[in-house]
Order: sequence, then C-alpha cells, then structure tokens
Amino acid sequence: MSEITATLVDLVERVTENPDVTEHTRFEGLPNWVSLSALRLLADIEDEFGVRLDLRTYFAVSDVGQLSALVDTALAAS
Amino acid sequence: MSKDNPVTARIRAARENADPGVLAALDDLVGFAETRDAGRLLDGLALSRIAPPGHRARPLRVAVVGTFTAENVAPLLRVELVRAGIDPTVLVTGFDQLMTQLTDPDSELARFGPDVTLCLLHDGALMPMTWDPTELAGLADLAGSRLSALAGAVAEFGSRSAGAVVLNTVALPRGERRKVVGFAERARLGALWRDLNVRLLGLADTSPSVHVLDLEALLTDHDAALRDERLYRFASMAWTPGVEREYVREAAALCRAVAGRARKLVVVDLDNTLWGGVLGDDGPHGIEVGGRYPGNCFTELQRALVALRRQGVLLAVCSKNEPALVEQVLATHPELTVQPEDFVTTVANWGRKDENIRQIVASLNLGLDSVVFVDDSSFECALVREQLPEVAVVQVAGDPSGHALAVLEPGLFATLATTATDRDRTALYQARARREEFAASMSSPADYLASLGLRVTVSEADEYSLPRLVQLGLRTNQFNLNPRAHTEADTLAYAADPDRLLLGVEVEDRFGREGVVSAVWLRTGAEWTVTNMVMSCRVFSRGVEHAVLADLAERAAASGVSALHALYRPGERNRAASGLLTGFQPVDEHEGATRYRVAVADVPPAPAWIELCRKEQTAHV
Repeated sequence: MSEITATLVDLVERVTENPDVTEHTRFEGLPNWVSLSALRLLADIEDEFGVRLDLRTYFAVSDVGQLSALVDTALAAS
Repeated sequence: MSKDNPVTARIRAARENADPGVLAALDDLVGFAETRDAGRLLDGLALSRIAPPGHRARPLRVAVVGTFTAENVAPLLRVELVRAGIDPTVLVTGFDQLMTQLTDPDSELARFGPDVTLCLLHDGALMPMTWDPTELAGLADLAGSRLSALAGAVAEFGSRSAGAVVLNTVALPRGERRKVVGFAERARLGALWRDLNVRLLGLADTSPSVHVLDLEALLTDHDAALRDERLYRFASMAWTPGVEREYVREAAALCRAVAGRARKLVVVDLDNTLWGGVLGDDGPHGIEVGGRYPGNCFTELQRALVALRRQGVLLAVCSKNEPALVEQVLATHPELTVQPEDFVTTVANWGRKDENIRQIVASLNLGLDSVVFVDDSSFECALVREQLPEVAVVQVAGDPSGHALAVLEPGLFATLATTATDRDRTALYQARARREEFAASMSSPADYLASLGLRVTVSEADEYSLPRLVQLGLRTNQFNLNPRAHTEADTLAYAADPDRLLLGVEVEDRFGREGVVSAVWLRTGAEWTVTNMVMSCRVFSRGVEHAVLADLAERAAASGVSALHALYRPGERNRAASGLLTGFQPVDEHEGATRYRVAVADVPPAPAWIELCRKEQTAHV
C-alpha cells in the first residue's frame, strides 16, 4: 500500500468511525457515509496533503484506491 | 495528523471506561480536525465519564440555528464549553430554517428551550441571489427589509423565550463585491453593506437578551478565506473552518458569560511581565517600561490591565520581590501606567505562588475558578497549573509585544454588559480591606458592627439597578438560595410583571457605598414566595440578610399578607444562604427546591446596628 493510500485509510477510518477500512473499501458501502462525511473527509485530505480537489472528480471516485490515485495526480500537478 | 490523536483516542475509550483525566487533556487539542472530532465524540458522552470526581459543570442549553450549513460550529463549541466548566446540550436545526424556527411557537427551537440561541447569519440572509449593480438603492431596500423581518422574528422569539439570542455581523464575500466595477459604486456598495451591519449591531440595544457578535470586524485580521466557493455551491456552507473557529471562540466567551463563568481577578507577576527586567537586579531605574520598544510593550500590557480594572476585573500583584522595593516602584516610578490603587492587593514575598494565590483569593472571598494568573516563568506557570487546576494560566513568553493580547484575546473576562458597580469594584474591595483593619482594631464584633453605621436600602428594580440585579443573579455562587433559578430574561420578567417583584438591596457604611449587593425575586399574592435571594460575598457577616427579611415582612404586612415562603435548593457552594432561613419551617418540596415558611408576625426586626431605609420609588419598569 502506498504512503498516500495508508494515510487515506487513516483519514477515512477517522471520519467514518470505522476501524476496518482498506484500499478496496467502497465509500457507498460504509456505514455513516453521507455527503457531510464526504465533505469532512475532503477537508481533512486537503489539509493533510496541501492539495485542492475538483469536487466533480472527487465525488466520482468510488473506493479508497481510486481516491489515492486522485490525490497522487493532484500532488503531481501542484 | 493521524486517526490516533491521543486526546480523541482517550475520549473514544472513555465511552467504555471512564477516564477522569480527559477533561484536562482537552487543553492539548490544537488543530482544527482533532478539535472537531473531539467535539463530535463528546456529543452524548456524560461529563462524569471524563471529569474528575466533584467537577461541577454548569448545564447550558445552546441552539445553533443558521441561514446556511455550519457543520463544525456545534462540535467546536462543545469542546470550548466543556473546557470552561460548562455541560452543554446542543441543538442544531436544519439549514436555512432560521425564520421559521424563531417565529413558530411550536418549532424544534422553541420546544428545546435554549439558554442561548446562536443565529448564524451569512450574506445570503440579507442579499438576494440575483441583484442589479446599477440599482444599489433597490438592493439597500431589499436587504433592509430582510433585516427588518429578521429583527421582527428575533423580537417575537424573545417575547416567548427566556434565553439569550445571538446574532452576528456579516462579511460581504469578494465575489459579490467584485460584481461592481465602478469605484464610485463599489464605495456605495461598501457603505450600504456597513449600514446593514450597523443596524444589526443596533439590535443589541433593543433588548438586553439580544447580543450581536461583530464577526465582520473579527475577520479583518483573520488569516483564512471567508468561504470555500465549492462547498458553498455544493452544500451551502458559507464559512470556512477557520471562520467557524473564530465565531465559536467568540460565541463560547458569550456562553461563559451567560453561565456565570467569567473570570473576575487577574493575579499578575512583576519582573518580565508587568515590566521588562528584574527589579532586584536592575534597580528601579533599570527596569523596562514606557518609552520605546520594548518598554512600550510592557506599558501596553499595563494599559490592558487598567482597562480590565475599569470594567470590574480585580487586579492583584503576586511577585517574588522585596516588598518595600515593590511598594516604592509602584508608587513613584514615573513611567508606570498602573497605579498602586489599581491593585486590590499587592503581594511581594519569597513564598510559593500557589500559596499566595490561595491567600489572595481567600481574602477577597472569591473562588479559584475566578482567577487568571499571568506570569512569564515556565516554572511558576507549571506550578500553578499543577497545584490550582481551576486557575486559568496565561504564560507571557517571547516578544513582549504579544503580552497584552495574550491576556485579552481568550475572552476570559467577557460579560454580557458592564454595570456601574463594575466600574467601582476595585474601590469597593479596597474599602472592604480598610473595614477589616478597622474590625481588627475593635474589641468585639458587636462593637465593630455598631460602629460601622450600616444603612440598608431595599427598593424595587428600576432601569438603573436592573442590569446589576441581572448580573448578581448570574454571578453569585455562595449566598444564593436557589441557584440558577432565574435566567437573565426571567429576571427581566420579574421586574415587569405586576404579580412578581424584583428587589435590589443597597448597602452603605462609614467606609462608603457598597452599591447594589443583593437581589430578591418574589412571587406576590395571598402568600408571598421568595423564589430566590442572592447576596454578594462582599457584605457577608453583617446581618444584611436579616434586615432584608425584616423589610420583606414589612412589605408583606402592608399588603395584608400573613406568611412568607422561601425556596431553598442546597448545593455544594450555597450553604451560606441557609442562614437566612433561621426561624423558617420546611413545608414541602416545590419546583425542585424545599419550600420554607414563616409567619410574617414572627420575623424579627432588622438588627439593631442596621438602619433600614426606604427610597422614593421611581416608575415601575
């Protein structure tokens, strides 16, 4: 698991109060996953990595692995 | 940042196993995300699971009602309030329901019965989504009428609710301002927007229970953006987390004032705190104060302290120094802004500071939880934190230009409004010290009381005494028959209602006027009930309460009433109040308190050493 993915797993676990998140965890399947948790996660990701994501691409990702790729791309562009 | 922030991990664990150290650990929360998460985890968690045994938190019901989504305000506020010794119950209503929540008598907000209602306002509350930059007059009219509607809703809510209502001034976002291209018109837009904010601020004068936080001013030197356009467009979030934090700090200070948790005394160190350098080493002429940098920074701290003193905060010196030298410098140094009479007491010795603070507090009859300790020394600050956890410690370290703001910024002294008594408080405490010296010179307590020349005046509340009576109700902990019986709005209702009576008690003696030091809440009728009486600890042990009781009996007899009732709810700190009830008999449990009764004819007259006076009554308010 990449460092970015590992950090994202931590963040998702914290935001959703769910200890069993992996690279393959799908957001839709998580308990407590509502649009406000998605926005809390967004704030934490942007804070942690110093990136700014396009909401359209952010909401298009469906699992942690895809999110990691999105953050990786944003980091490369910044 | 990681998911296992130590503080949030402890809160999570406290859900399973109580951990009394968590409360103190909340002070270690710094970052936004961890504070927000802590606040979310604290929701629904009983304070007894995270606080040491005997922790007395004051319950407070706070509603957050906004014209936009402010997700983080409630959790951030919860952390601030729990830290401040408050046990909050927080209601957050759905977004953009402000007007219906305020005006519907059966709304979620109305049923919640808040002590404090935070009405979060953003530009969309006043501005239409679409507006014509060539028709600024029309924009002013429209926004003005929205504001009038808001003011009406606040007034309507105020007529039904006893709690404080908190509004805020509103910043106009950059994107709205930039829609106007002409500089002349931009200036006009700026003026019309400021007019709206001035009107908002003016609402605070319409009712004592309406308060307006000047958020627009707070944001002028705030380093984060006002809003994140993505989140505003996607989820109607009008404030960035940075703005939410700024707002919460101000709102929490106001909640502390409502809950009577404001600090009342600053205990300040001298060397490298009140002035630069060490008096004992550098001598009176070597210390840095006044003139140019860095002396002017210490002067600025002194100005801040004098400003606090003028508004009712007591100042005391606690310094490791030679007392004679300190006395000489305070009295004669030409550059000092503080004067000896600004301090209610000056303690200079080589003893432990925690012991000195204990003594200062005991001599003033205050609680340790009313103290702010200001010192530059890590050692002294750590000692006081360790030995006196109730004391708020401000360590002034580093560049002295930051010292004044370090004392003022946390809003520890916030009150809802200052009163005439606040302005005279230091002199009142100094007179008290002279009185004690005089008492020590008398051969017996009876001689002392007889020679004081005590005059006690009991009168109905008027517009001058009312703010002070409200304040007494909120601030008095020891002589308080029925703690928390009356909120601010409740007290105002007592003053206005013909079936109830609100009395203020003024005390004067040969050393001067104490001002209004006691308040009585009465329900009148066939048998009168004292629903609460409070008295400032400044006038304890002089029989004032018995003079007040004698006055009540006279009033009752004059109205043909034969019995007085009093409600007493014993707590941990208000045993002093039970002395009033000598001669009363317990009757029953009533509204959560014990009801006592005494026949008017059995109430003894005022003590012989007190002259009971009546004042010409001014108009009923």
